[in-house]
Amino acid sequence: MMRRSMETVIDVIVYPIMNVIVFGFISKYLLGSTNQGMFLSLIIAMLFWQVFSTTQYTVSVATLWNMWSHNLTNLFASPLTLFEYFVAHAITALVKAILIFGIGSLIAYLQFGYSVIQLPVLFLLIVMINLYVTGISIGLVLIGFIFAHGTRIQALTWGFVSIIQPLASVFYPLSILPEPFQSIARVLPLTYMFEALRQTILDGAVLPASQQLLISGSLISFLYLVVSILFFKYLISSSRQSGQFAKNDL
Amino acid sequence: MGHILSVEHLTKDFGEFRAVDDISFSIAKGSVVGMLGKNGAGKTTTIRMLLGVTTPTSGAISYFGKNFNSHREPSLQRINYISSYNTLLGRTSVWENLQIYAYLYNTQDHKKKIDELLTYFEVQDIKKKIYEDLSSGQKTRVNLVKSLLNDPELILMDEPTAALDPDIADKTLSLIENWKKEKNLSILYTSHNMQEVTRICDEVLFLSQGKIIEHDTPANLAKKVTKAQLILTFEKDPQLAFEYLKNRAISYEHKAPNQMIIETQENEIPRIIFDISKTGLWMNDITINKPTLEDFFLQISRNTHEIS
Repeated sequence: MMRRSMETVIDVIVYPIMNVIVFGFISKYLLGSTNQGMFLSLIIAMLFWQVFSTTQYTVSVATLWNMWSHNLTNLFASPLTLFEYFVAHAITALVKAILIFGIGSLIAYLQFGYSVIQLPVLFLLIVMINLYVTGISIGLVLIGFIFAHGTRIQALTWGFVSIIQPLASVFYPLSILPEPFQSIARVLPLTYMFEALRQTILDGAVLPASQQLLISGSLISFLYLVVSILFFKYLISSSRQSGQFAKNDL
Repeated sequence: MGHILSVEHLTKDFGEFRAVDDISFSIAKGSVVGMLGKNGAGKTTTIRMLLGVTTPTSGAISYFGKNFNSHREPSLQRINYISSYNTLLGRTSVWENLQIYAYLYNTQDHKKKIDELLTYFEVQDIKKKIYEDLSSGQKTRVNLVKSLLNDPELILMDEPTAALDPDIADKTLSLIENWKKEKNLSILYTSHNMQEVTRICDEVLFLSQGKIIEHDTPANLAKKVTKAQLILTFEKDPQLAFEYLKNRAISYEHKAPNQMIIETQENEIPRIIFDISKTGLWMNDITINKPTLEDFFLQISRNTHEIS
């Protein structure tokens, strides 16, 4: 479908790569010569951000494609289960996220001289898995809302990242945020991952403080996944009760 | 004969509105059941509940003797669905779309199966085309191919020919009829086209305000409309016939010279013709328009209470 859908190619491939490139140049211009650690942490944050945003976008928009094609009833009139449907999109999201991360990493290495494999492999994997799981969780809840309320809220699928990005302290420390927003940021697993990422790049090693951030963030990510699955099931059930599930296909 | 589908006391409420009201029916193997009713009668809601995409408020659905709620996947494996309102993935080719559904239905030797069906429905040449670029007729045929990928024992057809012109609709209907005969398929068929329903359905459920108000064969339902139309064309001015009709208080219209149109009970027609012929008037032409399923539909829809 990718080669026939320019929207998907632009959204999933072009935008993320351009973000890494443009963000890299801006960071280099502002900080490159004065603060190498900060410069790298900004590029790497943008690179890892793509894992979350690509995952969330892919999981959510795939359902919209089925709605736009009026294909949803056909799908769910087949023996396909919701679990299988979800897993299929989760696998697609994983492939796309790895692809984008790979291309972005290559650009970061070739253009800005930083290799992500300088980070400890286990640390890298934990951060990526957490960002992927959070992307899945939020994507799932967004699909659930679309099933329950229809495509009138479809803009959330591509707009939600813009709401969550400033709150998740992706490019700056949590302490920069005003206090009410810090409280919100503390319940987001993304915040812990990007704090840990920043500290590790600046420290040059995964110190105990970063380890603690990874543990806390992972627990919250897992909690998000469990809650999002339960909430998704509830939204699907209410959508089938209200008749909106089938109406989404018209 | 075992029932493929049994529906018992099915009800669906949307808030205060009752869309489907305590309906019960069954479909036997090899039979084609039509579901008729005007817009909002509850047909589509019923189909959606039968597919599991809308949850019933109460009642039970069983496929092949097993409760649908607790045997969803095995039931859906043995049935299929086609609607003119639900299409396949627009930006994917015909072949890719059909492959996706072949995987979902776990179709054995799916490439051969898809090829066979595409050939049967005469759309083999478009298999590499993008689905959204197809004409309505081509889309309907591809949807039919999709609906037969799992060799279903029952197909739920929701106005499958609604988007087609009469010629293509006729051809599509013939293909469905032939396939049904060859495979002894059961079909639940909704349509607004009464001729289609009369042509392919063994029995008809008539829904009104969510309830089944009639359940019979198309011919028997048509017979429930007792009024027929008699058109008589005379050799000369039929003054004597007018007088006869006035005397018997039978209403008529006189729109063309030497012609009269009489609306009357069907069983009165022989007597009227006999009596008018006794006046000595020579009739050049006699046309009798007997009631059809469409007349029944109109009568019910207009709520004229003229059913015997």
